[in-house]
Amino acid sequence: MKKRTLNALTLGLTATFASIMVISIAGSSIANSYRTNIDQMFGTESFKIDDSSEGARFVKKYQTADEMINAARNVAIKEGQEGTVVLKNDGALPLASTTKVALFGIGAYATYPYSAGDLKAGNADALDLKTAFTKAGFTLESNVTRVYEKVSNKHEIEVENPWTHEKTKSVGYDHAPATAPGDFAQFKNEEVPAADLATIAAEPANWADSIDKGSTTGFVVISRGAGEGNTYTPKGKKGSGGMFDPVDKDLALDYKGNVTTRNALALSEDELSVIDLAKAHCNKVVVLINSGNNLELGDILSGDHKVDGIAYIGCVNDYQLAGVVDVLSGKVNANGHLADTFVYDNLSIPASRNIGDGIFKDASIVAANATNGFDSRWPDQELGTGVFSSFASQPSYSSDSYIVEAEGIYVGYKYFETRYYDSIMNPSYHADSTAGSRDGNAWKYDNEVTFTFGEGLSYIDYDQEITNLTVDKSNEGNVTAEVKVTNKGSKEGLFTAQLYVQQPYTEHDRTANVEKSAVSFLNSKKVSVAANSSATVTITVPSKYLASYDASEGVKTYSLEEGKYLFTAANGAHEAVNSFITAQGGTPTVGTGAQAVKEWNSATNDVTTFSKGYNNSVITNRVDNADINYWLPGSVTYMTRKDWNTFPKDYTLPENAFKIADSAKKDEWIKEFQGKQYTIRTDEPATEGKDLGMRFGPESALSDTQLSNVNDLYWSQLVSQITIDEALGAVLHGGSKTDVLTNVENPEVLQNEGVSGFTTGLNLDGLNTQYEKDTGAKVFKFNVHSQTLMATSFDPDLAYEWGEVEGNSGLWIQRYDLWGTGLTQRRTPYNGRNYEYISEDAMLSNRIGARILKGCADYGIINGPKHLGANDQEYKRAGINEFMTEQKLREGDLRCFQAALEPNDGHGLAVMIAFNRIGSTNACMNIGVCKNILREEWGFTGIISTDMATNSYYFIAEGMILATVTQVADFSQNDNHINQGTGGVDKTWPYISVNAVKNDAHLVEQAREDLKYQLFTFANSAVFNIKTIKMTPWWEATLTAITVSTGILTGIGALAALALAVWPSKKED
Amino acid sequence: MKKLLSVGNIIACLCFILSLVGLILYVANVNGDGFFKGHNVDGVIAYCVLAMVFSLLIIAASFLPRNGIVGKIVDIVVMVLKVLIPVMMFLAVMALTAERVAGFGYIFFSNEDVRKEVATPANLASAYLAITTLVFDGIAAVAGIVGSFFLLKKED
Repeated sequence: MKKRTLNALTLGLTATFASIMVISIAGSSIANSYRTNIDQMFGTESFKIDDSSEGARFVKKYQTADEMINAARNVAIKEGQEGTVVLKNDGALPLASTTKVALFGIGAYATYPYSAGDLKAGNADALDLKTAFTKAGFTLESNVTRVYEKVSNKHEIEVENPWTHEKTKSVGYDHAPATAPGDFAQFKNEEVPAADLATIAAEPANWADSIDKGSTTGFVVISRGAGEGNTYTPKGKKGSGGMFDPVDKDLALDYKGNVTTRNALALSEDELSVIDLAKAHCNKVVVLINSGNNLELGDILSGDHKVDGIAYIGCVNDYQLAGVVDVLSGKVNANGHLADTFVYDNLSIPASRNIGDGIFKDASIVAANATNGFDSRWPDQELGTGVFSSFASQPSYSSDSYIVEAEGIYVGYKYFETRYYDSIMNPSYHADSTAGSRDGNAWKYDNEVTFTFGEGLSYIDYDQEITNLTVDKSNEGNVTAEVKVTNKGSKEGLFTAQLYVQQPYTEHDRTANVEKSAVSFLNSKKVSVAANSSATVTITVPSKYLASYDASEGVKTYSLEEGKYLFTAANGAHEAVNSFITAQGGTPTVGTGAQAVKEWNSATNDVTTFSKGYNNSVITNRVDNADINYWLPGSVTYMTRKDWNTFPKDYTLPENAFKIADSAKKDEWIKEFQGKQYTIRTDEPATEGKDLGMRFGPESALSDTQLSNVNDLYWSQLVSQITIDEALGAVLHGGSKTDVLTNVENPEVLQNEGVSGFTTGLNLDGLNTQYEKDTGAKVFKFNVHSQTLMATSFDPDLAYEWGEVEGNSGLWIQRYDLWGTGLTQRRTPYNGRNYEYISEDAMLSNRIGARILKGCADYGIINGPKHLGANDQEYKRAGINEFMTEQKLREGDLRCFQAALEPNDGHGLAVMIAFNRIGSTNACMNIGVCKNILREEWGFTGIISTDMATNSYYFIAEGMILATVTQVADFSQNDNHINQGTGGVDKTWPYISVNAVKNDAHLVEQAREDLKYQLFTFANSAVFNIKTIKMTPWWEATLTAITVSTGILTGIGALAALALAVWPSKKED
Repeated sequence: MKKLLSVGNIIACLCFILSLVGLILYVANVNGDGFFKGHNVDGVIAYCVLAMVFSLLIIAASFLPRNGIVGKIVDIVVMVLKVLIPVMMFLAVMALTAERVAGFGYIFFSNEDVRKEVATPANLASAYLAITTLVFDGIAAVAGIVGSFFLLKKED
């Protein structure tokens, strides 16, 4: 070969090898960042868990896989048994064993959620409604079943991955309920009307005539889907403009895409036609509500479409329907209760007046540009103010949108029952004015409410009565009520005792704008009682929840006011209010139930006892600036019961929009919008991390003191070893998987989802389970929980059982950290994530949430509830300003989480913060909430994580660190360093670098403090049960081999090419 | 003319054009509306510009006298540049990939609820533009490898 040709070949090969080397080096770095994802794709492992340590602190309760699986299934069935709420029953239920069952509605054949995913496990033995009835011994009406099976046409489909072209099998339907309403989109109701069934099913028009009416009960399932990033659209508000005008776009479409006259949460004309079909051909008709969003049920309570029975079944999972049928059949007494208030018109709910978005008139004054000036953190970057998708990073402060939560504490029943109470007991409060009335006439309770919070029928007649009540009003004291439950029937039954209180509404309250509901739920308990006998249960609740938050000058803390506190045990908030009215000499005008009332007197105005939190921390105003009146005094009148004419106005309308420049605190306000509350210091040198030889892992022999006290010197010394680079880097990039810190060598901990339980399944290979023999399944998934049915069970003990199952499932699948329950208050029926949350009532969420978390914590599982900080709507959640009073925040959304996270109660080990702003401050950067309230008042020492922080102009690095966030969620891994951008700056926040922060000891020390909480949490969890053994999967080994070999070949090639270039050629003869 | 139309020069020209196109697409991607607006990636512009400069230098070097020591130096420099062109473009590809992959994950591979929110027309267009940028950069890199198999033409 000629020398020149050889030289060219050598050079070409050198270039080729050099290119491959570059690809493999860079590819290795990328692969390392997405190690977990790649392992999942290839089915490899990068580390093995060794959980065989003797003397492990957290031990499995279930010793075999079958026991574990059976425990999960059993608790799911119990959720169905205890969460099914019978709302109406005119002789339809319980079903006689000889009754034929006809299932109407597409939801009966695809009960939501019907596809496996986060919300539904999709195990091999999952039950649908047909199977549940059949297994319970009922005969299905074959004509109806045949027609609907043809209409729904459940079939297998192949779903092709657009990138890998890999095809996976899934389930499809020709007609099934819509799985998601969209985000203020026009909802399409997929129900097939009665008139079209014959055509679609290719059946004769009179197919239903062969139904044996006399022996058949028809069940019509009405379903509504939901999901993250979804918000149901309210229909137009009467007489208003703006986005809620009653125009076509707010009304639902039918399954053919035509606009109807109904909004998304009303029963559609097509659904009513199906109900009418059932009524025409069945002896009795029962409607089953399969939804996490409250429906408007007025059409089926009276008139042409009136049905014989209504039952709420929530959003079901694999096994709950077995429990539901147990209730419908009477095998289990109906004992569920509504967790929310259902009304004729969801727009009559005061909170519904203020959802969506108002836009500041002069939002653009916040923008960074040549006119306003650029932001020194991003000197050449124009930054807008629009609020965009939660998952996109746009150059915007995400600041221009807001809502005003003008309803205050009056969410759900607290509004309806208090106004009802005042209409009888306090006529001067104008409760019967037309303000807020759905039809423009004088407000009347029974014209507004269909079913109230806590309501639920029992098949067996029963009474409940407080026989003994004590109130220990010390800071750690409890209210203890002994409730006698009397079964007046001839069968044993399960019953629910519910405890309610009325706090005194005083002159001071009226002057200082402290709101008090006329009735408040405290706690509940289930009890099984034999026929014709009684049983007594003890219900306890911390006394501090009797106090109200008084933000007024001179108080600014929790206050237990002087006066009479009335307690009762009742079947729902309305019965409780009637009990209070009767006890006070009034006459209820709606409903007849009234139970005995116990009185407790507070002799003094106590603003001291509950003014101290954990470790004697001071409880005082922390979020004054969450109130719009802080910025613009007098601009908003919050609703107050002393005058119901203050029913909220719609502040989202353009004519009511606020102007930032009108504020005397404009400059301060703009800083909040821009996240500029803190300026990085340059005059306080931080100490660099120094290796003290302390390491941290399961082998660390920590004393009981060190394990119980995050302020023990050990922890400070441990985190002092962390370098400045890693201290900030690990917090700012610490989500999805905690990375190993140099000088600390903590274990890696993977985060998992979801609200229904761990979505990672248990591989049954080699476990020789009966489950595999029975079903043939190779995997069992533990996300079998139904949050909606847990809520309506009103059973904190069942919540603990689920927590135990969830915790043990984590030990079985070797996953120790998950975002595992939703506790946000359900402020309106429109939030698409209501199915993940518990209730409109903060205390029901408080009690249920605490027990779920405790169950997990007892097995060392880090279960982080979400989304703390008033995630009241999905729409524009990544930036919406939410204005509210401090009392509303503390007694509303925060109370939902409080017990779950307090060390002496739920002992939760983690929490996820909401996307939105509290006031105008990003919730993740809100020091008042995250540091002062969570860490100091509540004593929370766990992990605080953001939600996906994709917009770096809204999620500000230093703001989150100072708010004691321990990890900012992102998808990347192995990136706990600042210096991953060019020139040593942070890749996401380029103004952050070691140089930029090394003279801000306050910031650096806070970052180390934040990591202290993380490490302390790991030490108190099952993470410390285990050893992590690193492994090298084949793809990593391959990349390494390619890098090394191409590196060598590049070197050889380069030398050869150079030699050939300089070596003189042989002269040709 | 012969020197200009040598295979090596034609390929160097192609590298220049493809790198320029890649650069333009990248700038359009980070300045246009959609998911990747403002998502600057360190080094990409530098890598593309360097590849373009190296391509031009190779073409220019083909017109230089290459006798004696000077010729050998020119040959060696050109050889180094020919290796560096594909290296630069692959660095651009990998840097872009590292920063874009999370976004692609959101837009194309999220669950249905997230995809409905994030897979807007603007975001999809932005993603496809990012992919197109990667493709052009990749083709420029491959062209650079092919070009490295062709030395400067010897003078007659």
